[in-house]
Amino acid sequence: MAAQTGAAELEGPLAFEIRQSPGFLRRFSRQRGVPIVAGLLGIVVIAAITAPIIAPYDPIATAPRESLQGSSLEHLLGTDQLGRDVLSRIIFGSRTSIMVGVVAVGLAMVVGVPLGLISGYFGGLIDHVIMRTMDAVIAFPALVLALAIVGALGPGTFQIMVAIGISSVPLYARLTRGQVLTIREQDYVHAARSLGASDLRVIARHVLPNSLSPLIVQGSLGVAFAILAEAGLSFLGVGVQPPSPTWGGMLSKALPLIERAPLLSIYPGIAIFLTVLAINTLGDALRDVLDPRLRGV
Amino acid sequence: MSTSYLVSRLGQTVIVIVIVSMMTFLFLSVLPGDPVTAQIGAEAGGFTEETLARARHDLGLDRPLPIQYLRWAGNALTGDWGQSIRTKEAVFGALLDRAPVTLELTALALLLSLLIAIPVGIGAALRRNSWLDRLATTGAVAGVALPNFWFAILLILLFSVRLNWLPASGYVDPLDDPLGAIKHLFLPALVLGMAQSASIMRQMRSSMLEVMGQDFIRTARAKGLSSYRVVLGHALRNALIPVITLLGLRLANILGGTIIIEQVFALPGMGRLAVQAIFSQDFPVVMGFVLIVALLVQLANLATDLSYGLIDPRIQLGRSRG
Repeated sequence: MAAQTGAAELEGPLAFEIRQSPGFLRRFSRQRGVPIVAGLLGIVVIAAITAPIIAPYDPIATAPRESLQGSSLEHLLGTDQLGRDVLSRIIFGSRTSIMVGVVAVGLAMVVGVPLGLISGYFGGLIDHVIMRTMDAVIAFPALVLALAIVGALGPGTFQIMVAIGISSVPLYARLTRGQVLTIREQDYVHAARSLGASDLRVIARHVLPNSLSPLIVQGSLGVAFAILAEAGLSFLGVGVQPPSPTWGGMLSKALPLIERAPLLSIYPGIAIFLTVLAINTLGDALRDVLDPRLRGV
Repeated sequence: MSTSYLVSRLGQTVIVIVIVSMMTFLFLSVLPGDPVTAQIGAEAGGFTEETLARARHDLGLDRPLPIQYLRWAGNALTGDWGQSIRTKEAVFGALLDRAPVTLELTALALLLSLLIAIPVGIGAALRRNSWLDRLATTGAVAGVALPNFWFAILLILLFSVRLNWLPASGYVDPLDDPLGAIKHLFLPALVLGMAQSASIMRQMRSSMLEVMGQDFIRTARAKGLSSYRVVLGHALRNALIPVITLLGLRLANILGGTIIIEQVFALPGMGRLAVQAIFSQDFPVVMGFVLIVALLVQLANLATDLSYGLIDPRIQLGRSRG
């Protein structure tokens, strides 16, 4: 009991940085471009949450007679080849993108972080086995691996979240392991251990909290990657299945009509581009505030 | 470079390739659809249990997984990568037929990415905070957020639909018509190359900045060497090392990107074959493609590692330190 109290008292000095710095939000919001991109991302997230309320039309309802209309007051961004309202489809498409992005990264972290913790903390054979497996996963370009997993699981929303998640696992495992290797040798960890703290306690109270900053940064950039990957896979037709509106899927349906209706190929791309740009910029700003060592990586 | 390093580095590559092949095999053997019914169903209307069992036996699908894997891996070593379930073509042959398209595209993309990134990166480093530096930095940030297939669509809109300068799709064999081949591959390679040039450029810029601040550069300047010789003769060679480290990764990304870009430009490459194979649950083909890409990536990483020594003789791989 005494040992446990002792270990708990030692957690102060290098504890998680956000808790330590009351000026975090202020510093973060002063980073270049942050207010603009945060606003932009806010719009996308609000659109995703309130899609059924703010979308002017049902994104799936077809109206063949109104196909391929240009912009008008009824249809601000026009209609697609099946007469569906493009604006409504883009608004609903944000749901898919944000959901896939967040769930895929969550999944990758839930698997990758414990693997990295175990690998880095215990070392030895288990470290070798985990890291060689991660090497093998990384040997596949992420998109090829995702494609293989979708091939195995079949196309669909859940499947591509798993596919993108699995292909990002090594990233989080390696990052966590790297952090653990440094933290493991810190004096306060040695102290906690000599006071009798169990491995689990040392990992949970000391190692993990101090590894969080780079993981948060990587996670935010990972969401952007996942959104791009989802768009790509849905563009190929192996991702979210029609008629569900997705930005990648809309672009794939628009490509054959590129000469007749070029704007159909423009709008969903702008949505992807701005969303990913906003997330990346926020991720970079987070990194500059949380973990300046990673700058320029 | 010592022989023992070479051997252990080669050994590492082999181990990773074996694990990769096992993983590929495992992923694809949990396919939910039954390729046998898909295949026979497509050929004829009705079929009996007996035909099904025979077809499964012919394809080796009735054996336990480890046996299936060993059999497959043994055959793979001799160039027998199985048979496409859909077309009955030999997988290795089918991939080999399409490999030139993908490899030409990849090589041209890598070349374009370097041709864009290295001069811009050097320029941005030498003229810090100039318009070039700002343009390059902004371009790199935007480039990372740009979905490559959308960039491809934008280029098609501009160069094919509007200006009618370059074809929007198709492939021409460079042996038949070299100029036509470049015309057909230029846009897809530019898309793939630009996507990678952003990170190469950033690396080039930052390592150039680092090298330019070092003592030997000051010495070279003090000797009265022209800026041109200082930059190209002294700085560039040193600054290139971290850039080369990145090339293996860039190549992997380009190869991954070919899947989508071949689809956009209707190029008959390996990636397009693999995507079609996914739709018809033709897993020997998907597996072959995944394995070929992983092999290429491993070889590229190996080549990258081994090339450090050539560029910088100070790096002696595998020698113990101290």
